[in-house]
Amino acid sequence: MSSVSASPSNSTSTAPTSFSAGVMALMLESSAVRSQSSKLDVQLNSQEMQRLRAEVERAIEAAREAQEDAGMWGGIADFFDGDVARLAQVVAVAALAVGSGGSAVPLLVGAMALTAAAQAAEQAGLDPKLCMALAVAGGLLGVLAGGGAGAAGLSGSIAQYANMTAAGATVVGGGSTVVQKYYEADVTRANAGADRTRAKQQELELLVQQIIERLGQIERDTTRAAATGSQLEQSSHESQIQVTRNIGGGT
Amino acid sequence: MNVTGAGAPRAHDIQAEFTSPGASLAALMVEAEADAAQHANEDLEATKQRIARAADAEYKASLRAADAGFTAALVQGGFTIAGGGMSAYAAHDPAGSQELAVTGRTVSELAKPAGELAGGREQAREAAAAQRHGRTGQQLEVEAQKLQDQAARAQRRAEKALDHGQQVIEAEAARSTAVLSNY
Repeated sequence: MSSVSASPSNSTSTAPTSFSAGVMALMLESSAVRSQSSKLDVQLNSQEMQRLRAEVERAIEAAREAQEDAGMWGGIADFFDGDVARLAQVVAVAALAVGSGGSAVPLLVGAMALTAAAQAAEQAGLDPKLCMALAVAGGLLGVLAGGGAGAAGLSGSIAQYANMTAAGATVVGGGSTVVQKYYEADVTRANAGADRTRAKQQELELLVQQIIERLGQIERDTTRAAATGSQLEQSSHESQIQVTRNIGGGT
Repeated sequence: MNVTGAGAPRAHDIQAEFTSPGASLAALMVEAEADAAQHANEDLEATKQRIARAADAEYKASLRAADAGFTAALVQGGFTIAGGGMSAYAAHDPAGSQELAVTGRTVSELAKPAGELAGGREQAREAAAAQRHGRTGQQLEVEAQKLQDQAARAQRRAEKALDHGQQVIEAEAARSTAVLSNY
């Protein structure tokens, strides 16, 4: 005869009547403990997966914000390094041409383009002083093209200042590009962090699947052990009955 | 049937002797499938470690690509700003700054190749390496899922073999009981 001490899940003690029953009780208790441990593992891993999911969402949000900043600075860089620098160069060339007796048509085109650029800059929300400078420059060019007072003397100064504007715009564009690339690097870092966290999530999902499979296995083992133990008890009991009958029949 | 074991053996380390070929065969089947399940689980653990290493390599390569890209941008931006500054100064004082204007233009034009040398190529290399590690990780994840399914199937087969062995042993017990009842 063996005795089985109480398990944490119940406060009763049992005293099985045979060795096989005792072994079966121990096996069932072991299965219950393993099952409880596996369920706890599933719960802990599920909490960890929720934490990782939140981490991925934060990384994606950081990447989106950095991308917006990069886009804004890229737009500024394109505007200065592209539009403003080119326009200023056109103005410089046109002013020099007028100063040396050439046609005023390029100046008129430059004036119209500067005015259009001023409107576009205002709509894009750029610095109002810049927008005003562009509009004033367009107006001055218009005067120069129309041959206003002192136009010939102005052409040389306009060419000089236009060249300075072109160079200055290139400088501003270059600086804006650096800032744009800074934010683009942030986007790459944030996306890399999100990808790494997703890989950890996948690993945890595999682990949870393994634990769930183990839980199923424990349940099947428990059912099998209970059925086997019952059959052993039954067989033993039947054998004893047969032996008793045979002894009784022989006497 | 005699069963011996030493210390705390695994189920399939136990040396067993069976009294019937059917029970012996069932025990061998259980052992074989249990071994297959264990091997699949070991392969799965190794694959999971390879996945973790690939993910780590991808992350580090992406960070290096980001740093190299920013270094390239700094160098390119520096050349652009320097060249533009020289051109602006030359335009401010056109009397004696023709060389300065030419130098400024040259420096501006060198900006892009300088940026490429400083970090542009490294950025492209590391970005390609990150992509490669990412693809490796994805392939390993598919392999891990297959190994997991394989381990689960092997475990199911081991349980079926165990059920079969149990039926064989029950049949033997029933025969023994019938023999006893005839005496």
